[in-house]
Amino acid sequence: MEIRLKSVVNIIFFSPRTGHLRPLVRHVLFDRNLKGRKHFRWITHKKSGRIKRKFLNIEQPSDNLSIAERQIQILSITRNNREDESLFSDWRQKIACVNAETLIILLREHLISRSLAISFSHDNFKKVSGGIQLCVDKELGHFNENGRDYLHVYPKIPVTRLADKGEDIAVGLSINGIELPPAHMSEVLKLVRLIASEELEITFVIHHLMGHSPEIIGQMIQESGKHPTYFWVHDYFSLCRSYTLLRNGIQYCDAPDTRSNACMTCAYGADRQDHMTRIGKLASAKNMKLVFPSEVARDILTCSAIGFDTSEAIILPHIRLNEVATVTERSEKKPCPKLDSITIAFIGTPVHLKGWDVFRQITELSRGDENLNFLVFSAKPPVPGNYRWIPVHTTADTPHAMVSALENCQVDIVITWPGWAETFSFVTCEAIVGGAYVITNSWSGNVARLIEKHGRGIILESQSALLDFLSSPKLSEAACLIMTDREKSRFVAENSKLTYEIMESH
Amino acid sequence: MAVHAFTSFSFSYLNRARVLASSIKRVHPDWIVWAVISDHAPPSFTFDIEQEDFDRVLYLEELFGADSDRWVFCHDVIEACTGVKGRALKRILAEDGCNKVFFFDPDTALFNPMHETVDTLNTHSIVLTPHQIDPEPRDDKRAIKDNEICSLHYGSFNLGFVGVANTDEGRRFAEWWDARLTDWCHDRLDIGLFVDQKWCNLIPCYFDSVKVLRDPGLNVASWNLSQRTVNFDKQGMARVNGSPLKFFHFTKLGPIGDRMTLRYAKDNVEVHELWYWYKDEVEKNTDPKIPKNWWKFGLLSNNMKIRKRVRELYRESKKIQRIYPNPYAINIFSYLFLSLISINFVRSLLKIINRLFKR
Repeated sequence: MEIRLKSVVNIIFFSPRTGHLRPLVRHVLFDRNLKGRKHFRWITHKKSGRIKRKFLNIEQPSDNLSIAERQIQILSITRNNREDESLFSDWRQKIACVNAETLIILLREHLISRSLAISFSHDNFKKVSGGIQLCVDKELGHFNENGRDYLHVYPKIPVTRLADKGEDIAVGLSINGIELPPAHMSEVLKLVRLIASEELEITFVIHHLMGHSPEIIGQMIQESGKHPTYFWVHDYFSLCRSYTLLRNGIQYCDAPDTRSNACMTCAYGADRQDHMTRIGKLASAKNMKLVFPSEVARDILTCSAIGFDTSEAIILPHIRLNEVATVTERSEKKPCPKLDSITIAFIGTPVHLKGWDVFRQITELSRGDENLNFLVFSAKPPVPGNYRWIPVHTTADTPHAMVSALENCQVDIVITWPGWAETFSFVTCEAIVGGAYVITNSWSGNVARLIEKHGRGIILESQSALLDFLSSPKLSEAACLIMTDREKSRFVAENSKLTYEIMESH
Repeated sequence: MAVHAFTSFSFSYLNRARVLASSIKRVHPDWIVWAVISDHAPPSFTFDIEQEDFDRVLYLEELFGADSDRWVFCHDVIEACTGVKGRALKRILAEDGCNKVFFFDPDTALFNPMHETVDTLNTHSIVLTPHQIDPEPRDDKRAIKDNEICSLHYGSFNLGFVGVANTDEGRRFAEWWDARLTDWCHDRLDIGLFVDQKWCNLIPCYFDSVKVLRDPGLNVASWNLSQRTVNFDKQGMARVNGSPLKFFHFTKLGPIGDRMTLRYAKDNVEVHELWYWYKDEVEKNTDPKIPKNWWKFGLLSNNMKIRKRVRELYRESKKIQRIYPNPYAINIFSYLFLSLISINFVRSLLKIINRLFKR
């Protein structure tokens, strides 16, 4: 039997069973970021410099999944990963908590005024990064700068649902950013009664209810007297435990009726009616003001929620973008310079719901295209791929870190392809201020709205439209357009003062 | 005039039947739901219909009377659970006020109302759903083998669903089907039989006002997923090729079902969502007091498991039926003897010896 050399080489390189490159061979031929190693490029690349077709779909370490496969993986995790209720119950028992009398003594040591904001969110903003955490951090800063105190309350054991009715959860507390010992909510209720009896000016701010019991918070607000309460709608937790309205964690559902097939078959659907009723009751309390970071968020909640009166809702974007001209004279229209390479970026945590899988698919399909340069800007490194990771961590102390990074790397295009209707999108604002052109989808919520308003981007109807756009001359035209736009004007961000700004205006 | 629905199962399939019953009650609360049970409850478990979503229950003994033991001994669990369908249909059609009857396999679940199908029985006597309603592409040989050729083997229509109106023609069908299933509800592909299902290839030949339903939202299963796409619309309704999903047939729950779903659902993630939901529901409705694979009629009175070939031998031999009129009470030695002579080689040898003696 004649054995052909080429077929033998294929067997050595590729696993006959899977058809994928053998792991050891892959390690020899490619580096960690799956770029062909210098001495072996003659095996992996053509003379033109493009990667050979058979090496295009190299098996990634446990991560070479298509978008549908990824969704099925997430579906499996969502359906099988039930929070171990007995474990949490055990942890709650073991948390050493102080009583209200101890809390009031500790609180008085740190109070600087007779005006106190009590804010509720779902975790410790000092230890966890995120949009809501950033808002709480900034808000604390604004209150303290203006001589007001800020008490933050969060569940000590974070859970992804409301606390059970009547459950007396252990909460973490911080006053003006200084940690206090944990206490049960019943003790915090007593604390608030004591504070109210001392006639302090109290403002309640609800940033997130995850892990909390809305009944106890409602009781606290009611018993403290007629103090203003601001209920921020940062996401759609008021409508469903799945705060991004991703059915089974994978597909945007737009919060349909709780009796619909979608809700019935969703991992989060069983208790949705009760969930909405409990939050709706709190949101409809007297003196409660609903605050939305965008009109999109308000519109979605208005259409879908029960018990939410949005007629007097306040819309306060976290960031306002103001266009500032960069040239004073009208210059002649210059021809578009020849672009050697286009830099395309992904900003933020590389997770499925932020469109990470779509971005990864694009980078893999473009492997070998020397004209495209892919970057990922995030706090944590992503899995290796056809992109370079730029570590960036935006905090209250370094609010411009992302914008500076985008400008330094001269990013032309940012792909923001969320799977849900974003209520705000810091990422889009950062991209626009950083001078990039944003590509998004029509169901991205406030991302699409920002692009419609400011014009620095394009809204596409589907993933196939995105792939067509990136492989067509339109991509170069877009990069050209952003270069000329940058010459004409730029955007500056004006950060809101969050709840403090609302209080100032009323 | 009421619509009745029934399903046929043994207690090991009670969990699935419960999911079906609750889905019927959710979508059609006015329907009367029957449980046709070809089994006895395990000693540790009590079946209390008051605690179930079923309205009525029919046991095999009520349908076959004194002959039930001998009849069920000739059938394995699938043959028995499908074999009772004809007689149960006759019995339910005889019920006062019964206008229309639907049968659903216990591993189906309703999602949306079936008003159009119910209305079809105003003008037709029998409604059926074929396994496939769209041909497979010519170059997809695997799909043709898995689906179309499979349908040629196992029956064009899937008898996980059938609808019958209480008309003369509907009752005539029930009579005929009962007769055939009582005598010939066997898994014998070698002679062209597949339990109750393949008999229904003859329905369009024998009966008038038969309607073959080609709504893609009916009887969605792994054998037709290659041509159907499931999605959820903005109102959260599940749709199949645009038509509302009426019921899904979650056949072969387990590794085989998973494999077929993966093979033909491919990127249609919504199908996987439905499957995950169904598995969770079945798990919630599983009573730990019912042993896995429980079937009382699968055991002799001394709890010895009955082999299929012994059943087939008993079924085929009138002599053995005369010798053992009460097959579940046979002792172990008789059973071992029957097991021995049920082996094909031994039977052939006995035939040869018999012929030699006759000479």
